[in-house]
Amino acid sequence: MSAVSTVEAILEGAARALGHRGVQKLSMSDICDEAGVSRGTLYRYFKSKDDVLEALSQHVLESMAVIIQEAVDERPALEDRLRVVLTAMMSFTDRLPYTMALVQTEPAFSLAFFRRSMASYRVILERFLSPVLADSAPVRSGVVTIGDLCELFERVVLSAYVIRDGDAGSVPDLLADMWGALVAHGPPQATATA
Amino acid sequence: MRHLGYRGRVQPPPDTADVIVEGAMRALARHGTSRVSMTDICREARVSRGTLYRYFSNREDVLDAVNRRIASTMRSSFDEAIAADPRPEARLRVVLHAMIGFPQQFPHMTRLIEHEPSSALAFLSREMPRLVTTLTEYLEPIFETAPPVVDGLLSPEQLSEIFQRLITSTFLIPTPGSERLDERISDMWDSFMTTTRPPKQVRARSTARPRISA
Repeated sequence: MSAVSTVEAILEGAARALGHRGVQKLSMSDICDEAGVSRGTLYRYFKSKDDVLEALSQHVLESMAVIIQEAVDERPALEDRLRVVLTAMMSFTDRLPYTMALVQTEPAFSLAFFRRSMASYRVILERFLSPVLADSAPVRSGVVTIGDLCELFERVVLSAYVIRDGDAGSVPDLLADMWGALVAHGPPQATATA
Repeated sequence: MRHLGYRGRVQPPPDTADVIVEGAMRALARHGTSRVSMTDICREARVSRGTLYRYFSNREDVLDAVNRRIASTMRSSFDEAIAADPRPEARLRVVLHAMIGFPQQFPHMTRLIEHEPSSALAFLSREMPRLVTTLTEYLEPIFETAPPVVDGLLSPEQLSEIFQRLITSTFLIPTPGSERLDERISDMWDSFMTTTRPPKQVRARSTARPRISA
């Protein structure tokens, strides 16, 4: 197994073990068992349980950026951008099912993770959404920043991860449709500025 | 114990049901929805089992009363806020501001989110449709003419759900400054609304395409 896939196997095993055992009880042995690696292998990559959990958080964030990038590469048109990005963000829980399992089994851990990662997620969204948000009325009039808007979109999608009533899956489309209509009927886009 | 018929029944103070509901909310915060028992509720409300069962036949009955209490508190805070500023153009701002202050009105529910997040999430998932219905009653007057609704893309309920989720996210995922998220949402909305052109004069898509800035 390559180093990358070993680390991935460890992290996914850690996520599953976290789901069964909870943050408090989770041990390095649990992680070995779930990941199917020896103690020696585990300790070659990670010093402690906290070290594994930190890497897991980082892995989840990086995966999010990769999943969004893939979706944007597949449908690069700017007019689809908001829908594509939000749908990719929502599909995240299908691509990494253990994240969803964690929300159910370890909600406190998951909410704390979202809280810590809020700013990092926003930076990822800004990277993809700046070109479509920069010209919108709220940004041009200076009442909110692109980052503020990204946080609003991010929060609605995060809420759909954790509050999963019947309509949660349609949240990306609702947001994209809302935004599209507001932009279409709002103040005209700026003409070229000096 | 003497059986009390209707005639002989000692009328307790009129607010006993309220005392029980308050106690039930504290018990819920401590034990979570799935584990809270009638015994927990008696203890927190400081009423006897006899008194509790005179008002509520079972646990579900109490939990229903808690939900009704939450809904009625929501309504009265919306009503008060709107009475203080009834301008239609201020409606979204006024309602969202009332919503974001909810945790202060329900400190026990805030504790539930911290100590029993699974119960809190289960509660919110179950109650979401009802919360959205209540919110829609207050926002429908302004949403009826909002572009996403006029264009037939979203119903007023769906638009309300977006705002409900935004505000709820600040209870679940508080970050520095998120207690003022209502202001950013309202500013965003107003900047679209202030110079909104009548939807019918605009061909869909004609201005929807974002300009690529140099």
